[in-house]
Amino acid sequence: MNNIWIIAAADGKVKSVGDAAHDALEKIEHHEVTDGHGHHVKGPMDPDAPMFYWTLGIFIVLLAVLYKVAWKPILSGLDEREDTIRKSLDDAEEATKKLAAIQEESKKVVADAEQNAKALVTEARDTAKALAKDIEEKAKAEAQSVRDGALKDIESAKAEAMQSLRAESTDLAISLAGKLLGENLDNEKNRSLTEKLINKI
Amino acid sequence: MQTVIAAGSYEGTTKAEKLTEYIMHHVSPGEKIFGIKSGHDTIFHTNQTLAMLIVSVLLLIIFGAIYKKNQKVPTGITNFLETFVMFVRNEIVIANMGQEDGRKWAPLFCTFFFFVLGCNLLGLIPGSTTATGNINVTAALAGITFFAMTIGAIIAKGPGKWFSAFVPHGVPLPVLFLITPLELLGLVVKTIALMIRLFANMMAGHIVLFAMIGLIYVLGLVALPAAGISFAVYGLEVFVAFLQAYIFTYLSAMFLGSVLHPDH
Repeated sequence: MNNIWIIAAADGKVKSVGDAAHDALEKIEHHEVTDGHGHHVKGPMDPDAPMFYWTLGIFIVLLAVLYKVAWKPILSGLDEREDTIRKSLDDAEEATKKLAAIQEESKKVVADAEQNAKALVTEARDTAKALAKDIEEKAKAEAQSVRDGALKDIESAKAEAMQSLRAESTDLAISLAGKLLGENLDNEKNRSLTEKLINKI
Repeated sequence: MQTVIAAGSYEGTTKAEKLTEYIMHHVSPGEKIFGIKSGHDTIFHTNQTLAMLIVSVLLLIIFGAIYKKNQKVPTGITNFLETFVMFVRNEIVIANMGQEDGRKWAPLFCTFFFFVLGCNLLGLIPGSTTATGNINVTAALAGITFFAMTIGAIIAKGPGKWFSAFVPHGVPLPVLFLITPLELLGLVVKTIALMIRLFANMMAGHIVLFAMIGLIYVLGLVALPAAGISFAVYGLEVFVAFLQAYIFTYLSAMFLGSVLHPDH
């Protein structure tokens, strides 16, 4: 109950505050601002030429001075920094591209080298194999020729031996027969006869 | 009530009437700022002129001395201020006027933004006054935009090209006689709109704040919660200070951009 009474009593006063603000606005609008002692003073909406020129002057001087000491260096600094950042980004991108190209190339080089090495090894192996085969074949041929030579030698030695044996035996037979017969059978007729006999044996 | 005051009798006035006086006094150009005397007997015209001078000096100190222009990577306060400068240049000026003109005109709009913001914020400090809550101040500021849209644009583009911005393409000749004066009048209307928007917003905020505090004055301690509301309104006013500086700068850039590049 007490609260309601306070609110009811306050209501009029609250309204009076609203009215006060409203009155103030209305007086400002109608250029009737007073200083509290009934004297008319300039309100915020009253035309005041010196105020206008003061503002113009202050603003233009401020603009000129700030342009010189602040805006020019600040804005050009901003532009410069933006350019630097843009350039850095472009450079980085280019560097990345270059790096990728280099990596690609090095990969290629390594692959080429690997292939070369493989080819080299294969070639060497083939050469070695061929060489070995060649050597083997040559050795085989040589061995064969040596053997053949040996066989030939043996053969010729055998023939020679046979020949000498035959001549020896002929001589021996003649001398034996001569001795036996007491007669030298060593004439042309006997020799051919003996040789004929030996050949028949 | 008017008659009471007109009679010069302050006696017997109610608290509400006194409040009206307080509010009017607060938003009017006065004699003192932070207790310092200004006004007619000094060289400063009013305390609001002095407030503008204080803002100018502060801006010169902040951007001339504190802002480190040689930092490659801005830190601290420079970084903080640079955010605003970049915002004004990129989002307000270049967005409305294009790269080339935007960069050329950016200093004007940076000065607009920080000067208006400075005046708005200075007015929020108790004991101070809001210069941008005076119509003569906003008229001068909007006048600068008007100069830029007329003389500035004529110098930048040449009179013929400047005038062609007010002659729309593909409109029959008789209609042009109606439209072109209207378009030219639009320059004045835009200027007046700029002037009133900033002035009204800044003054209205202070009246609302005073009405809130006035509740405590009229009702007594019962209305103490109004103090909380007035703090909230104060926070809103800080936001409005930034918002109105942004809007004034943005619209100025937009108007100037529409004169320089009528096709957009």
